[in-house]
Amino acid sequence: MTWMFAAYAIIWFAVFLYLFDMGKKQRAIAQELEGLKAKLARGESN
Amino acid sequence: MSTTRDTFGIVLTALALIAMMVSIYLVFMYVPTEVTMGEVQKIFYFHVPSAWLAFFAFFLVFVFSIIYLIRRDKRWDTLAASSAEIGVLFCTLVLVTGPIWAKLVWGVWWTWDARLTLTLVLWLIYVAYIMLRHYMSDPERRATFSAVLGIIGFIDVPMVYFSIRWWRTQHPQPVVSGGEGSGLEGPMLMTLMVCLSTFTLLFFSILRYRLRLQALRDELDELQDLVEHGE
Amino acid sequence: MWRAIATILWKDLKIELQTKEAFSASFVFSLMVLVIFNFTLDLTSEESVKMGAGFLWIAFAFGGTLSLNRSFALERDENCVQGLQLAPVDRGGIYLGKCLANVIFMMITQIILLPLFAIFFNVDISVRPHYLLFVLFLGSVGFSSVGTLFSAIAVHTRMREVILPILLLPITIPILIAAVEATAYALGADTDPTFWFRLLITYDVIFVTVSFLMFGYILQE
Repeated sequence: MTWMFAAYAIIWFAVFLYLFDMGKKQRAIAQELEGLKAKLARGESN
Repeated sequence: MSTTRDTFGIVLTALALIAMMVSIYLVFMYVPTEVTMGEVQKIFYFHVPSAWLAFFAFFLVFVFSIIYLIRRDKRWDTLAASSAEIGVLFCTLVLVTGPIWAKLVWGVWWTWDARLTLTLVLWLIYVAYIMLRHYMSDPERRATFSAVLGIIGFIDVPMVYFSIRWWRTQHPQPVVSGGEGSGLEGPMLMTLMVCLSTFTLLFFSILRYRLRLQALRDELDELQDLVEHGE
Repeated sequence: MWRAIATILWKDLKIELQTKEAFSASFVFSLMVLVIFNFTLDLTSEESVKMGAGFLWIAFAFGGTLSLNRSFALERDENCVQGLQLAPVDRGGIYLGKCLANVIFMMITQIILLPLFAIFFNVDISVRPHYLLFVLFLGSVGFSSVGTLFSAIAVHTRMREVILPILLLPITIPILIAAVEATAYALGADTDPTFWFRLLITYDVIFVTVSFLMFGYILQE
């Protein structure tokens, strides 16, 4: 049973690590998007 | 909104993680093994919450669909679609863990009993929902049509359940004994409740990620429009 | 609104009378399904009675899907959908007209198919004929109620014919189960069909109402 617990714990921990990682990536992409938008806006007003 | 740190989302996910660790501990190290079915019975602690959450998700689709048709705010459509996707995810889990349990405990993969069949039909209805969305490009129309489907799909659920249940009494299938909820108390009930809370937290955590993803996609579309029509 | 219903109904019926497109396609297809069942299963006569109802409704469901597809496909092909949308007519009326037309089409196919079924499978269909007709009617109404709505939805998607059965068949499971069980009774089975008739009527009432209400959303802008 301890094996089962360990196995499940490790797998779920990995899943959550993946979730957190995805969150970070999403934030990076969002920031990039914002930067692009700002550039475009500046480019247009020129 | 998506560039700032999503503290609520992070806390939610962290809570879900902690809850999951607690649940796994309870299931494997704490709760006593059921006498008749043995170790396999423990699938039950993940199987049942998945089922409850799948139904809850589809109920949410129903509610969000109605609200969308009334208010026509795109965010409700996103909520409905996201709930449907996560609902299908949990529904798939139920349909996978169910037969595994059935085979190990009762010797048959499938029994066409009311609950399992209902879950299968639910899965079919909401996969159809996702497919419909996939085959439509106009966002407003897609939202409206999905909302209609979401409402009809959910209204159908009780009728599917009763028709299958009554059909079962006319056509008895191999009888499997020992319903899941029979005489659940003490540590087993507590473990089940903890697992239910865990899966609920997990559901909302994933929902939040999914919503943020959609917000990103929408911003990207906006940007593309700007690029195409800005010159 | 009654004028709308009558107009749409009459229009669809007339088109069908002239072209006989949908009817022939759905009839032939349903017939094929029955014939194929015979090849895939080697039935004794008692089994035929028990399983006959099931075959019938599978044939009806598939044939029905075909004819439902056409009900809006024609509009789409001739660009009539915009015409329908612009017309200052009660949406509900359009829905009821189309639904009624579909029910009639389904029932025509069914009534013609029944004697053939009786011949092929050696089943006596005259045991409880009034019940049989009643079941056919209720089943067709239920199937067409959601089917007409979904057919309108399907016409606006990229894969029209394909998406309709995917949407329709899971939702119509209660009506199909009930129709099969009630038909089994109508064909002479020794069962109590009250629950099934109740379910048929309930399903019909609920889904005609809901589809009636929702149809406006499909035919918008």
